[in-house]
Order: sequence, then structure tokens, then C-alpha cells
Amino acid sequence: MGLLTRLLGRPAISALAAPLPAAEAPAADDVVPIGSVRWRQRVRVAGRVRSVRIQPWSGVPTLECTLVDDSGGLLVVFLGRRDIPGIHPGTRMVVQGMVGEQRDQLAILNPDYQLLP
Amino acid sequence: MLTRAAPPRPLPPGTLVELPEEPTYRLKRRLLGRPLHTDQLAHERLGKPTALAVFASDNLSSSAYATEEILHVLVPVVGLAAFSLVVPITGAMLLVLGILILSYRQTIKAYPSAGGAYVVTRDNFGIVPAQVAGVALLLGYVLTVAVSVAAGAAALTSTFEALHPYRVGIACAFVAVILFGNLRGVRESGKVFAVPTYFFMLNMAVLIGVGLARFLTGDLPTADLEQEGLVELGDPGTGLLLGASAFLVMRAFAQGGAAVTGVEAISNGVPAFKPPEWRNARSTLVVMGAALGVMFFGLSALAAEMQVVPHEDGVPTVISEIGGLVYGDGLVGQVLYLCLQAGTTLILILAANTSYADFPRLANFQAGDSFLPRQLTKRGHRLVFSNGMLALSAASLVLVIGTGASVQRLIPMYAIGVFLSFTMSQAGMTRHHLRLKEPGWRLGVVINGVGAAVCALVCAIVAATQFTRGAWVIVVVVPILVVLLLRLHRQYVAEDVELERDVHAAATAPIMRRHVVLVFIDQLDRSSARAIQYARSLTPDDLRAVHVAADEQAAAELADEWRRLGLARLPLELVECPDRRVPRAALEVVAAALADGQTEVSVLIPRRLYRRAWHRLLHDRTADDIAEALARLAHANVTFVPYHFAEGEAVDTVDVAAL
Repeated sequence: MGLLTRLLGRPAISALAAPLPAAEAPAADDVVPIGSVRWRQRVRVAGRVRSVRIQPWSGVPTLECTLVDDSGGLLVVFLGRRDIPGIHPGTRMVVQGMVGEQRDQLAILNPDYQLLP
Repeated sequence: MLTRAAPPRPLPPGTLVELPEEPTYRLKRRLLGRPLHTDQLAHERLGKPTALAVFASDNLSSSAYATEEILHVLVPVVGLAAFSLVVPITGAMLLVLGILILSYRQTIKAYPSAGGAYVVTRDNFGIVPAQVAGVALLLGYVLTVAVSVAAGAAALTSTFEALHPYRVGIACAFVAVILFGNLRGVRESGKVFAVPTYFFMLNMAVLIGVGLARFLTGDLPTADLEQEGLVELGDPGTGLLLGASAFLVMRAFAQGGAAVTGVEAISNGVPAFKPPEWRNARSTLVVMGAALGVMFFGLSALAAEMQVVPHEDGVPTVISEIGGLVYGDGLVGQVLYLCLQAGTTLILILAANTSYADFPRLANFQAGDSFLPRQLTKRGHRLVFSNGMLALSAASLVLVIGTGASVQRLIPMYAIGVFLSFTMSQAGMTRHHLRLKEPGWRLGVVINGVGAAVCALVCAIVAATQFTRGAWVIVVVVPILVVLLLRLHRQYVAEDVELERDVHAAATAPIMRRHVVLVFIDQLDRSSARAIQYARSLTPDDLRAVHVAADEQAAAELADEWRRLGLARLPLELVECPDRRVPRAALEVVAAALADGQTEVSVLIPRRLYRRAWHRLLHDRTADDIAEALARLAHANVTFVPYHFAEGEAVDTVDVAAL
């Protein structure tokens, strides 16, 4: 290991490692960490929107968000919406719905959502 | 039969598309002249008289300062007794010179190709000891430049005393002029070189002849010992060495060792001789040695007879003092004196110039063996090794400025470096004879063995007596450089091994399963539209635009505009970037796209190309920063999509709305 590396500490390897702390205290008690979410569960998760994708799904306008907390991340998809006021990168929100799958990733389609201040 | 409205025309001269040259290239061309065609790399063959002029200038010019350097060591300690010691010391040095000439006669015959000590050592001892010889030679060349321009500046300021305060500047200017001339490609054209060398030799012959005549007629003047700025006189003692310790005499001998530097020049340039190369080179070497011997001995004898005490700062030089005294104050004497000084200055500059042929050539050899940076093998605009020349100039300028253009302080470093390379070369030759046992090898072993032993002895004497006076620099620098070179070599070899491993398998490997194209977009404008247009021509599996939202407001506006312009067929991804490090956020996006290990990602970055250099200053370099950050990901292929600013007119016809 080079001297510089020793001085600077071990470099973070994972590109997905959250550079900043994610959303803090969830709004309700039954919120679970995103890392513990499994397929085909009905869950309530809280986190920060890391990225927003405006993407048509076979002609249907779709808004696709990556929601992350300290334990992991999943997709949150709003079908039929081009944009939702208040949802943009950095938004914190609580989301509730059935966990499905989209492009090999866990995804919650058209969830109930609540924006956090 | 096909008929055409307009039959094809011949191709236009030059390039099909008009491509104006860069301003920097136009400047280079103006300064250095037309670029030389590679075919013009011709080898000029030199006859013996011109070869003597070309190769001997380094060696012969040493006589301009060697006597002075011996006196400089002796006079402060033993005073006027120095003048009794200088001639024997000169004689000892000439003995070394004789041994060197004999030894190099062997080298010339055995190694008629170029390369000198480096190649001899490489062939006989292997690649690692060769680096020691190589480093010693390279340092020798650097010091040749430094010593020669310093001595040249001293010669010039001895003639024109008003210039005295500008010595360092003058020496640096000499380096600059020589560098410029060589970058333009001053070929080893004999005629240019012959004039100063023979002019100097003629002047020395006249000086020594007149001095001898005046000595024989008994009217040789002695120097004025009451001048200002002379070295302080020590007290002479008694005994065989007249009060000088053996150490002092050896130190004077070591300092005088500078006289024989440059002997190796001919053996490095044997291919430049007319055939039979080795025979011509050998006889030229002997003539050079004889000429140096006469001049060095003559000057030392005159200095001793006239009791010329050197000046503390080396100006005026001893040779200038001798000239002034021998020629006297008459008109003819004045003219002769000016000729002598001009000849001395010119040959010193020429001596520096020879390093500009030798250093880059040796650096090219070593770089070719992967022991020096590859850039040194590159021939420049005028077919010369420009990078080697620049490196040589930089190194010698450091020495000139660092020592205040003092010959006296440079000599100890010079002598040890040169004798180190002599030793390596002669030891290599001894081994060569023992290995090959060619006819007459026994004599060769004796000659080269003695040569190696004598050189090693001189080297040791220089190191021991001059260590504190500058030789330590070389003693420290050579091992450091050798270790550095070996490390460099290891790196090059490791790179080559990796790059050449399984090339066939790599070339026929299947392509990655997915191809994702990411277009990084800062705002929706013509430059990003151009990038999107290009992205669609790549027919990827997945194509999306990515915007790093360092500014939330701007991101929101971009998203609005995206929808408004109906670009929704193309996904736009907004990525948060709360710490405003855009390149890092871009890196994370691309790394995520690559995460499955079966994806090739093409990253398109619109780059604006400005019409004027100052326009560029108005903008930051985010595009380049992103590209640099992505360089660490394998399979992330960055493409800059250029957007050229037109002045006032719309050249580009990308319709943003149509995308």
C-alpha cells in the first residue's frame, strides 16, 4: 500500500456507497430499512430520492425514482406521471406499497407516498 | 453506359479538407524552419581533417582551462612553488592521456558502431552495469556543456572586462543559442565545425611558438603578482614536493583531469568516418591526442615560466593572461591576443555543442533499452532528438546557475563522471578480449587492463581528494539515478508483458452483452442536442440522458423543458449531487451502469470548441474533469462530442424539437 493511500485512508470501493447521510428519523413506527425489503412484501420505507428518471414505458409517461436510505435502495415508479411536484433529487419521502421487480431491481409501482419536509 | 453531368476531377493538392495549422505550430515553423522529411536522415561521412574538427573540439578545448585549474589548487597553498609543480603534474596527466589513447584505439577497432562506453559495458557486463556507464556518460555530457559555456563566458569576459558582472547570464545565453541552433538541426557538417577548431589550434600554435621564441631569446616577461583579484599566495616549503602534501598534489592532478575529457568522443562516432572507418578513426584519435598534449604542455610550461597566478574568480583566465603577456601591447600583439580569445571562446562553445550530438544519441540508446523515458527516442521537427536536447539544456543550466558559472567548482564533478565512464569502458574492453580471444588479445588485455586500472585510480583520486569540493554530487547522484533507471525499466517491462499477454485471445474475445449510452447534459442547448443526435447513431441497448443536479433549480428547469419540448421518448435521469462534486456523481452513475460486469458503457460528453483561445477562459472545464474521473473505470468509454461555435451564423442544423 502506497504512502499516500495510508495517509488518506482506505478508498471507498462501492460506487453506491451513500456519500452523505440518508434520510433521518422515519415518520412512522412501521417503517423498515430498505436493505431488509424482500420481493412480494408489502412495505413502508422512508428515504431520500437519489435520482429521478423521466422515462416512457411503452408510450406511457413514467416517473422513476431511486429511493435510498442508509441500508440500501430500490426503485419507486409512478406510471402515467410525467412529473410530480415536489419529487426531485434530494426529496425525502415515505413510500408504501407492494414490492415488485423491474429491470432486475426491486421496485414499488404507484405507491402511496408522503413527502417529508 | 452511364453518363454523368460532371466527370470527376483530380484530387486537390494537399489535403482534401482545408485544415489550417495551429498557431503554435506556425510559430515553431517560423522559429525552426521547415520540418525535415524523414528521408533526409542521411549520414554524412567525414574525412580525417573534418572529423578531427568535429570530434576533437571537446577534448582540445579542455586545454583552455586545465592548466588554470591545476594552478588554482596549488597556488593558494604553496605559492610560487606551484610553478615548479605544474609541469610535472601536467606530464602525469599526459601519461594518462597516452594510456587512454592506446586503450581507445582498441575500443575503436572492437566497437566500430556508435554507442561508446554504454554499448561496450552492455555487451561485456550486462545491462545493469551499463546503466552506471550510461548515467556517468550522460552526466559527463551535461557537465561538458556546463563547463564549456562557463569557460567560454570566462574567456569572453577576460577580453571585455565590462561584461564581467554578466558571466552567468552570458553562459546561459550560450546554452540558449546552442540549443536553438541544434533544434534547428545544425548537422554535423564538417565545414562549419572545422573553422573554429583549426582557428583555435592555429592560435595555440602561434601562442606557444611565440612564447618559445621569446623564452629562447630570454625576453619572456613574467606576470605582475600585485594585480587585484589574484588568488592569495601560499608559502612554499622545502622537500621533494616543495611543501605541498601528497594529498594536495593529487588534488591538483585530479583537477587537471578535466584536460583529458572528451577523448571518448571519437570512439562514440566511428560510423561517421569515411571507410575504412576504424582505421581513420584511430589515426584521428592519435592526432588529437598529440595536439592536446602539445597545447596542454605548452600552456603549462608558459604559465610556469611566466608565473601566471590565476584570479580568484577565474576572470581574466590564465590563458588570457599568458596571451596578453606573450603578445605584448603592440598592434600585432593586440590583434593576435583578440584572435586567441575569439578562438578560445568559439572552441568552447563548439565543445558544448558536441554534447548536443552525443547526449541525445546516448539517451536514445538507453530509452530504446527502456531505461529512460520513451519520449527521448522521438525525433522532432528537424529530425533531431529534441527532447534529449531540452533535457540536456535544462540540466546544464541548473549546474551553470547553481555554481555561478564557475569552472573551478564544476571541474570536480566533471572529472569524476568522465573517469567513471572511462573505467567502465576500459574494463568492458578487457573483458571483451578475455571473452573473444581474437588475434592479439593478450596485448589488448594488457593495454585495456592498464587503461582500466589507471582510470579507476584517477577516479578514486578524484573522489577522495575532491569529495568535499563537489565530487560528492556525482558520488550521490549516480547511484540514485541508476536505481531510478532500473525502477523505470522494471515498470516498462511489466507494462510490455501485460500488454503482450494473450493478444490473440483478447482480440477475438466476445463483445459485452449490453451497450448502454449515457449522454451527460448540463442544459438543453445545441451542444447537447448534437450529442443526442450522435448517441442515436450508436444504436445502443439503452440510451439515456443524465444530468447531475448540482443546482436543484437548474435541474427542475431542465426537466420542465425536457417535457415541454416533447423529448420524453428519451429518458432523462436527474442525479442528486448534494456535495456539488459533479465528476464524482458522474463516476457513480457510470459505475452503477457497469455493475453487472456484462455492459459496455459509452459516455458522451458535449464539448464546446471555442473559436478563440480566450473564449475558453470564460468557461470551466467540467467536461474534461468528468472524462478524467471516468478514466479509472474499465469499459467506460468516453467520447467528446464537439460543438463548434460559429460566429453569428448557424452552421449546425440539428433540430432540437425533432429529437
